[in-house]
Amino acid sequence: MFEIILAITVVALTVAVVGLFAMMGELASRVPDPTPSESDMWPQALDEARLGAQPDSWPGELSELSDAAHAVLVVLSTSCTTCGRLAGGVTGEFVVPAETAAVVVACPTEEAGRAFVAEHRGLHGLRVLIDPAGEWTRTAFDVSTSPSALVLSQGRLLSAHTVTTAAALRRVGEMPVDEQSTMNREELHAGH
Amino acid sequence: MTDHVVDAVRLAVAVTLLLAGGAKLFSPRALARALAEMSGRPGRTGVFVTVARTVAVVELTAAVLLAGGWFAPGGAVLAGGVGVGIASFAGAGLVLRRRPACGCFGADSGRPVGPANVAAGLALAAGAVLTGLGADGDAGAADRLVLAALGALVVVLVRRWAVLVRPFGRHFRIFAEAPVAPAVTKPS
Repeated sequence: MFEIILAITVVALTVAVVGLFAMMGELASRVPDPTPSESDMWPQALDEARLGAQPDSWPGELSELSDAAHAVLVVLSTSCTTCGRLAGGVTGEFVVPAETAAVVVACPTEEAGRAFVAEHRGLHGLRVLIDPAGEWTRTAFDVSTSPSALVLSQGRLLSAHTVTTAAALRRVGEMPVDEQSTMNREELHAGH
Repeated sequence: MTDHVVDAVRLAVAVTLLLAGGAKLFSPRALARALAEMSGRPGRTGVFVTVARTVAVVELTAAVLLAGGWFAPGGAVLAGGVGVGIASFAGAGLVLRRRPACGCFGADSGRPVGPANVAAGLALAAGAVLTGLGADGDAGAADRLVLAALGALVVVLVRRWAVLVRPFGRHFRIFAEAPVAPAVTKPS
């Protein structure tokens, strides 16, 4: 009998430890890291993107991006904690890094997407496309990673980056477009 | 030989259920969010927190019954129900094209539900059936319970090792490292 009580006690303590770690995980997902690493402050190349891609059709919300000389498309997701922190201004004020810019919110349902936009003030007043299941973004550019920033010219994808902080997003806008265009033209020619 | 296989499967199922149940009991909101999104009512997680905690209690009960062997058929039924529930939940997400983060192990399990969850649920159900067939009374119950608990402890400590050592790396570092700013990345 004593052994059984002891065993049950060990199980209870184990459940408590497992629960403690789970609560730490939940806490970590809610509280921003006070010391983001240096690499978080810079955009990172997104290899999965199909550079040079040009969507066959543009949703009405993004129509202005289709013929802009320089545009940035920010891709967020409702199921991504970092996206919420970025749009919520936790890492710095959320500012789209180009005059012609828009935000795509990938979401399981339209309701979830609209709730995400309503919840994050940084998205208010911006061109926002609610993209159920991230279908349009994936089809148009092969991008299924968020948060990310896509640099476009005349509707064609010049470069794609993951961004985890407002500073990294701002730096995407500061990248010289001409240099990117030249580089990608060479890549595209080399690819063909 | 067969008994050893059944014991090993029983231990694996009990450890998995202890981890899932313990995490969800204290951190139910991830699963609650997933259930709310799946039901088409995102943001209304209140009632689903209770559902998530109920699932956690069922998982812990199943783990104790299976590991202890007191009422293994009952534990197997509960564990099988959890497995079928996970597979159905993930399958429904695939069919409805709704893929919220699973929340199966609390807030950490942030990957969207998918085919892997269907397979995991079915594997859990199959394991439950196998352990239910091999029920053997309460002989060695205390030993098996302690073994399952220690197994769960080892798994959680290995998985969360980085969390444990992070403060030591950050606050007690002896040599300062000069930060190196990476260049702005360009498509390659």
